[in-house]
Amino acid sequence: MEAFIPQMQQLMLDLVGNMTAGPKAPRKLVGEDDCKQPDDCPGSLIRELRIFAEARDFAVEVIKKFMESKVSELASRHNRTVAISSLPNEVLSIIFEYAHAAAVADADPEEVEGEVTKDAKGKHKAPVRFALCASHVSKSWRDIAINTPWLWTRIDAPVLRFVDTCLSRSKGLPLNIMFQKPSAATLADRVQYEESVERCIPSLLTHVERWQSLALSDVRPIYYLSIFPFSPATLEKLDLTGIVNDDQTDQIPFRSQMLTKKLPRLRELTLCDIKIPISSPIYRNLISLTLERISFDDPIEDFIRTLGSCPLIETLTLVDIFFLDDEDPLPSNPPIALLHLKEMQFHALYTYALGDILSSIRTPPTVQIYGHCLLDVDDNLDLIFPRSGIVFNTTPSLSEITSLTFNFMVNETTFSLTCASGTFDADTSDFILKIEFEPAGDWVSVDALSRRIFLNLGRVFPLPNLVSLTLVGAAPNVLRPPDFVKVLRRLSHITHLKFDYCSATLMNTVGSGRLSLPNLTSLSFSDLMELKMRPAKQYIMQMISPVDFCAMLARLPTLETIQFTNCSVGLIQTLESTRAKRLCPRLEDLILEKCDISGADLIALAESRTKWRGEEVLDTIWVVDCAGVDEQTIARLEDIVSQVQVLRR
Amino acid sequence: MVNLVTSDNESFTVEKAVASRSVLIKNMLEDVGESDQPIPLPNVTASVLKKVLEYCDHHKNEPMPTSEDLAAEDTRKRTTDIGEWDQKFIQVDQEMLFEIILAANYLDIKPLLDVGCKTVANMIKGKTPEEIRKLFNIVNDFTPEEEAQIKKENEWAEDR
Repeated sequence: MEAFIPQMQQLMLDLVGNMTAGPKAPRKLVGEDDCKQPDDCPGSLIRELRIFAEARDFAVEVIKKFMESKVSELASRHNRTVAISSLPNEVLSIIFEYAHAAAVADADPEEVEGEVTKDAKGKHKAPVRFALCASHVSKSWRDIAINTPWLWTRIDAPVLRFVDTCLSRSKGLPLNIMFQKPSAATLADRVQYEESVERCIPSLLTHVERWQSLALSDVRPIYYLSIFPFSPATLEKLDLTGIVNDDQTDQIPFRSQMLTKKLPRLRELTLCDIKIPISSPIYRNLISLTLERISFDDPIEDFIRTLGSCPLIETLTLVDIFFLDDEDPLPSNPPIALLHLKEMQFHALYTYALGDILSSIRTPPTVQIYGHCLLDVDDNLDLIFPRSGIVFNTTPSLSEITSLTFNFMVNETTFSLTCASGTFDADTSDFILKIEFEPAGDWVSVDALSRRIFLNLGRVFPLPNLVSLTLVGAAPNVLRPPDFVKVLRRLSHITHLKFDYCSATLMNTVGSGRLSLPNLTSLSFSDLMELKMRPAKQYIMQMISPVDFCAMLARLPTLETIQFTNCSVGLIQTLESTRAKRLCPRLEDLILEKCDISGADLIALAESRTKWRGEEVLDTIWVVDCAGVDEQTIARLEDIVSQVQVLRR
Repeated sequence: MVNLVTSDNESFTVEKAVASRSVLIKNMLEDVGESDQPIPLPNVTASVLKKVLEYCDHHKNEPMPTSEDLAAEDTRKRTTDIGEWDQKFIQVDQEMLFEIILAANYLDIKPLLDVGCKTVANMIKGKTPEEIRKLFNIVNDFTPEEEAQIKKENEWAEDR
């Protein structure tokens, strides 16, 4: 370093010498006065000043450059000594690939547990930022990043220079192109964004043979028309999202020519607000198909036929989809085998469309069908589900249902039907059917619809293997006791019944002897509290009295398990046995969750049921989040019954 | 059993199944056949080999990645998820972390190399260049002209 100082000094002296050694003969400038003493004349002085100023600037610039290169060189030498620099370039390149892949996973809405959310879009900049970030740390990192082609395969900014840079740095690898409009963009921003996309298309088309995925969001097709004549042979995933109510695109005369070429490797297709006729070959051999906000000019029959050309399809999503209304019934063809279908999701689909699809395809027993259905005034389950005669050949999962939850009050206008197979717990995610129903318009009463759909259970919807039934929010003015009895008589083989915030009038049908459930071994109650009834809808839910509750339990001698969740202590205490009253003699498990029962009351109940040992076999008490049951109580209960399970949630 | 000798001349006697997690050692063993000769590892110190062997011992019963596995590995599908035990194992200072990565690279232990690389990837993920420099004691060695180019490139990420 010491040797560097005289070197610098010499350099500066040389520079000054060079600048002042030139010819001094003054050159007269236009408009200058003649002077007797040239050196003193203003023009000459100004000229000399300029020369020296230029010399000074030049010298400063040269020295600055020299210093900067020295500083950079020294910094690079320092960087070579830090621990991370011990890693070979190929290892650092692997590290970059991992960090990039993680950024892609964070940014890709599909990777976020299948939920495409607006929030996910916020992370969209991460991959491009990582590639740039890695190349901006130091010279050696830049060199490695630029020569790690994977970092540049995701082109997600419609900036021509960036696109060209990625195309060059990705060195022949497959490209994933995804342009997404900046969030909260104004109309002017949107047009500017669309024009940016349009400017990038010609460059991208020069590498069309490398396209692996293409996602153009919020861009009208008129901005990427030049793509249509091409047939990206390697394209595996296509996601085109237009803009809502895009009349302009709808009127494009060449719409029918959009993507009419074969895309032999296309497996995932998403179209939103972009109408491409069903006859297009892009709908063939798909594994995933998502259609959103499209009114097709084709009848549903054509769509079903198209599904037949996708025998390996795994996910089918239809959101706000309308087909050309064709009055003719579907021809009775054999169902199309879609034996790889894992999930079928729909939203705001009319019953006729859902019914036609479900009756025309054959799905595996494990398929999950879920979504949101619009019901018209005369609609019923027979319009949705295949007739019982063909259900085994179409949706065999429906005949495997073991657990069903009917929620009368998902919200003000929605009720739902959730079914599972193989488990009694409908809360778990392994459901096979989950449909929310909503009236198609103001002219349809949601209560009338929910009542009608409920009345179909066990009839249109046979449920031969049903074991567990859960009713949620069944108010007396929605589900009248005679209707409840009618349906439950069809399902009298069930062994598990759960009332979650239901009217006393339904339970009284059992107590009064109008309804018999001879196989019932498990009964659950939720939210049976005078003061804590949920204020959903405008119903007043009548609370069951302890006397009526006793009458109901007296009619259910086969019960082995009773669960109370958030229920009145008075109801729980009806299980206390006396010489005159011994309810549920086979009761083995008592589950109390979020109940206000005191330790003393629970001990009294348990003791009362063991006094007549031999007749009553209370074995296990489950205590879940019951504040009044302390450790002392648990210790005492352990002396009374075989097991006490304490859980905190 | 296999006898390994480190660059600082320390000997480690380990089960063949443990040592064979290293493709390098496995190939050497196959080449020399049954032998009591120690295997020199001139690029690995004792402290690092101890850690590496700890990893190999824990994973000795797992199947070795086949060449098909490696060929099928799709960079796009890579994640930076690390198993619970591996996460605890790799909680070491930076210097040791890089030494382990170097050793895994030299000894050809792909799963360990991946754990190390993922750990570093998780360290840099979501950070700015300045934060990365600070993390690894790197200094900015770009000249002002290069900085100007970088500033332009940063606009690409913002101009979207």
